[in-house]
Amino acid sequence: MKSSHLAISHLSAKTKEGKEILHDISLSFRSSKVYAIMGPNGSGKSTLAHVLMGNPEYKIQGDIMFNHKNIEKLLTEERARMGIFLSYQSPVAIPGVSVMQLLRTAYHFENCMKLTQLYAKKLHIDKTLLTRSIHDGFSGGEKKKIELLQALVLKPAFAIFDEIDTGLDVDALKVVAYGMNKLKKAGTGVIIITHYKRLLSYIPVDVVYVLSKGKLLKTGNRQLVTVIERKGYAGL
Amino acid sequence: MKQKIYRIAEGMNKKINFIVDHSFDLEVIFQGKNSSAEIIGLVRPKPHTNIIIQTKQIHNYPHSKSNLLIRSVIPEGSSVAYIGTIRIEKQARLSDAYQKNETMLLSDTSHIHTSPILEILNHDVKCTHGATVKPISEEELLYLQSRGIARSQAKEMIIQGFVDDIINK
Amino acid sequence: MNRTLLPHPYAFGFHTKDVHEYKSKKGLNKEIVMDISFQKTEPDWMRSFRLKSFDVFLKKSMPGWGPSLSELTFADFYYYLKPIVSQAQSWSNLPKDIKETYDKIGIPEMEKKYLSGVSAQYESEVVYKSVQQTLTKKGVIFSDMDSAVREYPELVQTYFGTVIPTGDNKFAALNSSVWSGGSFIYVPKGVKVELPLQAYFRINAANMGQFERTLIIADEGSFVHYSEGCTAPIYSTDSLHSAVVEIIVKKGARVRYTTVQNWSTNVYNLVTKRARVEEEGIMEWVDCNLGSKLTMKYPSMYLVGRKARGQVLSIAYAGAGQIQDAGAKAIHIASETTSEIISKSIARDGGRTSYRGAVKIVHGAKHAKSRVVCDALIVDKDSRSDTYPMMDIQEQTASMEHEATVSKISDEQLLYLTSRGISSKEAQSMIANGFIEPIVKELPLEYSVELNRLIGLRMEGSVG
Repeated sequence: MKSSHLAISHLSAKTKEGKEILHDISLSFRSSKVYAIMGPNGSGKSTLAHVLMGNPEYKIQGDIMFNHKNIEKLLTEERARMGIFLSYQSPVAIPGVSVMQLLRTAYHFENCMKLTQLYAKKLHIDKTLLTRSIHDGFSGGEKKKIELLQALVLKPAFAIFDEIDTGLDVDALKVVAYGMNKLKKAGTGVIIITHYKRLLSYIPVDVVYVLSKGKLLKTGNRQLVTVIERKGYAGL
Repeated sequence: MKQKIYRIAEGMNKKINFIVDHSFDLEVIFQGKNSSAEIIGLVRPKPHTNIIIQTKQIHNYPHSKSNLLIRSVIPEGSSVAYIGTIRIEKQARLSDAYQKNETMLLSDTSHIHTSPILEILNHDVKCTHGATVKPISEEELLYLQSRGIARSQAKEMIIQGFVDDIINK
Repeated sequence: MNRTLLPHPYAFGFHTKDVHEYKSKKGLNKEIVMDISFQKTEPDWMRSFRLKSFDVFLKKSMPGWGPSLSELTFADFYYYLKPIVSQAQSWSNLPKDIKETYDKIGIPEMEKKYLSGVSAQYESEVVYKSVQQTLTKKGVIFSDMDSAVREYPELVQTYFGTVIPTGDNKFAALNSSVWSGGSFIYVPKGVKVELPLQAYFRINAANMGQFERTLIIADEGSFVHYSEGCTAPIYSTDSLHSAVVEIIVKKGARVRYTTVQNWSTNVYNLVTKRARVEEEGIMEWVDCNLGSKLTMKYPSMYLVGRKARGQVLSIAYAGAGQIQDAGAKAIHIASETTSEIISKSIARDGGRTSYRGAVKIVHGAKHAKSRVVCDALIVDKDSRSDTYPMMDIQEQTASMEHEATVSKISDEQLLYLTSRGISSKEAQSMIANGFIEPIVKELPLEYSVELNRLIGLRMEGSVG
């Protein structure tokens, strides 16, 4: 995978009702690196993920650049095809549509099925989940793994994981970390949105961005994670 | 037939309750946006009577919400004919309407006829209706009997529970 | 899904130049009814049945409910067309013209694959029939209705008109007077016919009426699956399709009847379909309504024997200028009977779908159970969906559950799929197909593929 660059510059985001969630944020991301976006509840982390993906619920000001080209005007599917992937915090169920079907349609290549089954095995995903209606009646852990599975198959330039660690037990966390490491090694820029340290002990983080009340509070390396763990966000 | 019409103005959140043993026609008409109505009713005709219950939830304005729950308890020789209409007009986008009608037939000669109707002319809405008719649960009866309660009394308790549950809402 | 597999569905809107031996005059009167019977060389009892039915038709009024039928003028149609050839016993004996018609629909492949027998209807008469030896050996009768009247008179006379009496409604009376074609199936005791029996229909000449009459008798402990799929050419004047299907499910027997209807959008499709289900019998209706200008169809089951079961799986799609007024009826007469009705509808581009259903549990049908689920998807602002169910319960020990929801395609689901790089149009198509999936998976394979493709194309706006 060739090297890519994703950046937001002076980005602000408002909901349709006019409430401002993100204020003048500038961040950048590169291939093959692991980023953690942390911050207390309500800091705007999820909104950032949705804005990057082009969710029409938000009105934005500022720039989003993929390989130095502005993409704010691109549709969600165009951004996905460029190589941006979002693993949702609470993914929606779609009756009658299986993950296998979704991947086949998204990427139109024959190897998809074998690859999907291979990764499913590695992630300890029960193969019946591959042909059932996606996320319909799946447990929390199963939903997160199915999201990760899609990232592994689609091999995006950037994969954003919105709170993938909530509700996972230790075994599942290890499996998720394994998947993320695999993505990073293959060249994906992995962006992990999370509250706490748990997952981050299994995957070496290169850059930590801390958000608070919609603004960028602090930038640091993986030591910042330990500081937050000891002192909390208030201590920054 | 007794009739009651409620017009729900903009920004209003109305709660409507009723308990009837006679024919009744209830209309809830939305006349402004960002409004809601919650309707809870108990229909319990006297023995050997036939009654008609009509309800209408009419949504004419956007962002209006209605929720209707009616329970009917029908004794011997009686019948209830229920027609419940939810109509969402073309201009009532982002409106939600729900309707639930639950019936218990108390005797061999009880009769229910129910027609929940939906007429939806706007696609950007959520609308659900449900109707159930359930016999008195054998499981529940046996449970109470196993606690030493005579069957006929157990029956009364369950029916009363069905009724009280709605009165409490 | 392989896009190149099937042609554009409105390629089915073709017609070969009319190849007819005999065409009745336009309109309907006693002489025409007599003439139809004479052309078919029918026994007297069928002729008098027709004439009595015609009297009933004249007296009966149009239904006082449902969509408007005011544009329907009975005098405008031809009620009988007899094609040139009498029944050919094999595919190669068919006249070239007719073979071409069916080549376009793709029958030969299907025939090779796994059809047991095919009754193809060309205009109002069955032209082609091929019944394999295994069926005949088992004692199964799979014939066209016209021949059955002549060849199995006792069987036909015993059951014809017993499930749907002439006076049931105006269109049943019409069909009873001018019926032509349709299938007759008799399955003997204990015989299970594993492969689906199929039939194909076409309306060809302008203003032609289709009045096929089907009668299926499944004797005790037997099983049969009958399926029909129709396509029709596009005409500027209206066409009328008013079929009657009667099914008798005897003790412990099981019948599945699958219909995929895709008439062109100038057709009035008014069908009466009913099954009488005896003790421990099972009736399964799988009904897909995609075409026609107006369809009024409510597959019904009368559960007359203890533990009889009935199920209706219904899909309706209404696009621009279409009204799908479909649903089901379940009448519980005996105890421990169960019924299940699942209806999924999609309305788009100004189309209108209406679910019309009736569940009746009479006094004495102890422990009867019924469950109805109807879900409707309204895709855009011009379309409309209605639900008109009716439940009449007079049995204290019975239980009934009915649920209906109406919604649009969820933004959340669209966002999810587009965030995987799938175009918004394709995402809508996937969601719509996913919505009807529980019913589509009950269809024979070739129908489910065609159906998914059709819905996909319509949702993407590629076809009307």
